[in-house]
Amino acid sequence: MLSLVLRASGRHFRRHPWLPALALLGMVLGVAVVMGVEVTNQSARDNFRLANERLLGSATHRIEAEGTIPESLLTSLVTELGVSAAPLINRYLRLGDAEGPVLQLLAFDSLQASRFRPDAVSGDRREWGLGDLILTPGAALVGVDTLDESGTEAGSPLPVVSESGARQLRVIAPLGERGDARYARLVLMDIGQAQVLLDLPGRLDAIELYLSKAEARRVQAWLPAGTRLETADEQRAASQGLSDALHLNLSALSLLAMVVGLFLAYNCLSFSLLQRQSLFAQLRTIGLTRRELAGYLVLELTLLGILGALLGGLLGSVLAEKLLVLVTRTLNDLYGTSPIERLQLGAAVITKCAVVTLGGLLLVGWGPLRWLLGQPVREAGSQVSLARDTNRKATRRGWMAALMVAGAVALGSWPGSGLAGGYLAVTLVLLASAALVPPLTAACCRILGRSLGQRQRPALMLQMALRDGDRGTGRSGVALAALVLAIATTLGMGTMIGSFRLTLEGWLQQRLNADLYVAPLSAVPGADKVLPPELWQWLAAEPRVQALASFRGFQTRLAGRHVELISARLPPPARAGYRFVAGDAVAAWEGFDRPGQVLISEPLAIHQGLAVGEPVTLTTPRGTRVFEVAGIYYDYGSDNGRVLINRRHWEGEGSDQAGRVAGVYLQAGADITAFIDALRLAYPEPPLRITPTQGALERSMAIFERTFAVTDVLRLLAVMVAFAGMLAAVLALQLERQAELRLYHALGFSPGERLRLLLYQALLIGLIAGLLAIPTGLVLAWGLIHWIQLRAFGWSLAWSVQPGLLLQAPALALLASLLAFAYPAWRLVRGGYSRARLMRAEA
Amino acid sequence: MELLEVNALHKSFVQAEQQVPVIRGVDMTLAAGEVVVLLGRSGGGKSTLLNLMAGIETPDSGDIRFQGEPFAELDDRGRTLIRRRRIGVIFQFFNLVPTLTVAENLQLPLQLNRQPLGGRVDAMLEALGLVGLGQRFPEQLSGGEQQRVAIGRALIHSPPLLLADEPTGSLDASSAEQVVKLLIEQVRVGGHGLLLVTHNAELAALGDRTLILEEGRLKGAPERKLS
Repeated sequence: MLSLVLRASGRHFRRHPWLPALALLGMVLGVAVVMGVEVTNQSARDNFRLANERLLGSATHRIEAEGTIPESLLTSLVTELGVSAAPLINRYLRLGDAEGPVLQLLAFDSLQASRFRPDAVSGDRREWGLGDLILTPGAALVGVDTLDESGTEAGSPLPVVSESGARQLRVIAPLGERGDARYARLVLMDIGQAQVLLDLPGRLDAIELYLSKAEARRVQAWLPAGTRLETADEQRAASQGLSDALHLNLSALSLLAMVVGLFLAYNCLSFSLLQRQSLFAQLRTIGLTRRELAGYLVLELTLLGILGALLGGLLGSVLAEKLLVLVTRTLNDLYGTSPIERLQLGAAVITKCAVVTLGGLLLVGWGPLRWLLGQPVREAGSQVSLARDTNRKATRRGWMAALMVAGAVALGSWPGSGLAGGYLAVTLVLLASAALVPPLTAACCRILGRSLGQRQRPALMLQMALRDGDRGTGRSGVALAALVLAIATTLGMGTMIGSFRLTLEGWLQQRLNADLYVAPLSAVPGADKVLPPELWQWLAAEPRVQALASFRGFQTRLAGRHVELISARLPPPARAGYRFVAGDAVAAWEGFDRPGQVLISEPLAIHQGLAVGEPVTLTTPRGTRVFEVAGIYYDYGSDNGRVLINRRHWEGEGSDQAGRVAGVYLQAGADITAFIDALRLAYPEPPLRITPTQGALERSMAIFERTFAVTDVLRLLAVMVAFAGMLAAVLALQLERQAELRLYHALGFSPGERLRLLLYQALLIGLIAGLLAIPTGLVLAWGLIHWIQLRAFGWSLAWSVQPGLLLQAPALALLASLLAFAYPAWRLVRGGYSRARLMRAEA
Repeated sequence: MELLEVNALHKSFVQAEQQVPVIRGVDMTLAAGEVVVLLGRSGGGKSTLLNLMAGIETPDSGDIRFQGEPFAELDDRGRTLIRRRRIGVIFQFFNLVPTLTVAENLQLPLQLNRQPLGGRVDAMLEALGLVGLGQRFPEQLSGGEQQRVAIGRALIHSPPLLLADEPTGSLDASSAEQVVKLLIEQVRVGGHGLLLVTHNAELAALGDRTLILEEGRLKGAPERKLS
């Protein structure tokens, strides 16, 4: 029996391939986006974690400081306290030249490697000995994939660029196996050779230790000021949550695209079942029970889901490869360097995507299935039943929508509901909009129809199309709701991204208000160089300089999270670049100038629940410090948060002329170009990056644009899914009207009149969907900005409506409608729909 | 024991938010091997009565017994299983599955009932005069041919009861005559009971009894007269 039912349905699909094909397309695109983002997210997280883990090694504790640590501290630790300790250098290089890929350099004591870096010295040691690593100038173990990439063999030189300039390594052996992400872009050296390579004689980045709890307490008490002891777990925990907000947002955006894809599948499934309703009714009449029919339909749905998951998964893997490049770049820009860029396609991610796909499809298929199974058997042979949108249904929908909106407002107004509450609020808004679309559509059509009135024949087609829109919302209402949501999602995402961009531009223009910025030039990331004191003195003495700002950042911890502490000197022109969220600006700056008070950024205040006047406790390189919050300022440079402290209070009197970056404010009328030339002439070494404001703005925006690139890709994918959804829904509605067209032909409507009727029906759907999508999209954008972005990243964004996007919504809908109209129109022109077979004869 | 017994059957529908009675206290019986013709004007409730007897609809009140067993009280699954096994239904508009061939349409009841196909499909094609058309699809057949396939599908699993709702309604006179002749012949040969619903009074002569449904009530001999 099953084979016959499958055969009947299979041939039906072959005769009407559009609907199942479009349903599959929706599934595939939705799954591809989810799969692509999930694999990318998981890969990026794993890569970040791997890079972190290999940095942490197997030590239990680590000593770090502001800048480098003298090697003598290690010697004293071992001799005075008798603890097990080893040196560590952790830097970055570029392979080949200044534009080459970033490599991670870890340098350690080779003689203690088996304890602190066992991975490095495990494996095949036939080709090299520790002596080679210690004594050969530039000796390095390099990841085998990196050697393949550069075409280098063991024993050969490998050109690199360090923060000190171009250098050469001598590869004594490859590291790890091919494809092993743990050794991707990794260089291991003996500490002595690294110090020579990097011009760091007698200096270390950290000291690794194996300590018991008691030993840790002794070391903590013994450490000099300016150093801190941390456990490996503390370091691990601080890094783990670093990019959570970004990953969560990417996942949420991908799920939005998936929802759109599922709506598309829902549409097509509904129409496919509607088309075959007569077939199923006949089978029920002959004696197929509801349970048997349900079993078959669930099987059909599952097969569709499996196919969608497989194809979507394949497409998603391709997408993930492209996305990973963008996401890794973003993570490096925002959260620090992770040189590993390896796609990790694990069983867990694949399983998750398969479950989401099948689960989603069964969820959206449940409604149409239930409807079909609930249809009385007597409908066999009679006209396809329309679910009439009675007044009672419309009222119920209205109440449901009102409740959902109330729920959304409640969750949105309650910050304590957190990010989960924010996402739920946004979902409720979308569902409320979906519930209101059918009655609003019917109302619009009714009003327009009445205004047309009884007119001459040329308006009759339009009148009929409007009447269909009014009475037919039972069958087209869901399709329209799905279309509205699809377009609204793309509009909402686009408005959110646009608002973000605009807010950032405004912030950067205000913040970057110096005439130019001077910083040490480094080819490699992470280099902690400062401008030499002589340069500061020159700048301070230069008559063309009106004011000088200085900045230097330090990594600290607050409640286990990484927080940047910026020690700054801010003359009045620089202070004008800061806007405050809370607190009076004058009072805030007065507090900034007092010892023990700091300014904090908005993300920090939101994540930690801090307000002006409250204490903030930081774990700094100088130990734990408690400050009072003097003001909260807008800052979009870090979602983890920043603390701004007066340089004088942090680094002592006389430290005004120091720092990593100088903001230079010139006297009115000064020639910037001439000034830069003079600066370069006075200080040709070390190399400087001198950036006029416009260049600084462009460079900063370029970094943010890279961040937006990922969301732009997701938005584009959502647009594609929405477009496919529009096309599918309008085409399905048009195809479903074939019997009506035959009837109109029998009644005497000319081909031109029937064509016009089809066109009006298509345009009406597109226009209504596009117009209703506008308020929905704008409300969605508002929710994304105020309930999601603020809670996830702690950034207030100015909600701004972009006219181009507003026009895009109805334009997209109308374009899809016209494309969907093309096929039935082509059939009609070719003489289709001409046989006067009435509806009741249609199986 | 009668094949079908109907007692005090009532059925109404809601139209424009008003209850409209369609069947008002119908009593009748049908015996095995008997042909009963049910006449009435269009919209008079004939199809509704037929649907009730097929278990497609449930009555508001009254009793239907099929081979002595209560039928109307069963749930949808119960009625469906009985319809599958013991009733064949023929419709005015054929209602063949358009994406199955003629042979496959005939196979449907056998497969549903897990009965062996054997040579039954071929035998039925021959009995219907449709030899050589087994691989055609319904839209490739004439109206008469389609209705013959529908008859074959209703009979192939040898149900005791046949219900035919206007089987000649969509056919021209010549095809209608052929179809009715075939139907009666098959019913007589197989010993099936047949309730033939029609508005065509000429077909009344072909039955053993004629009943008239007027305003929801039956006129004529509701029970077989024993000779």
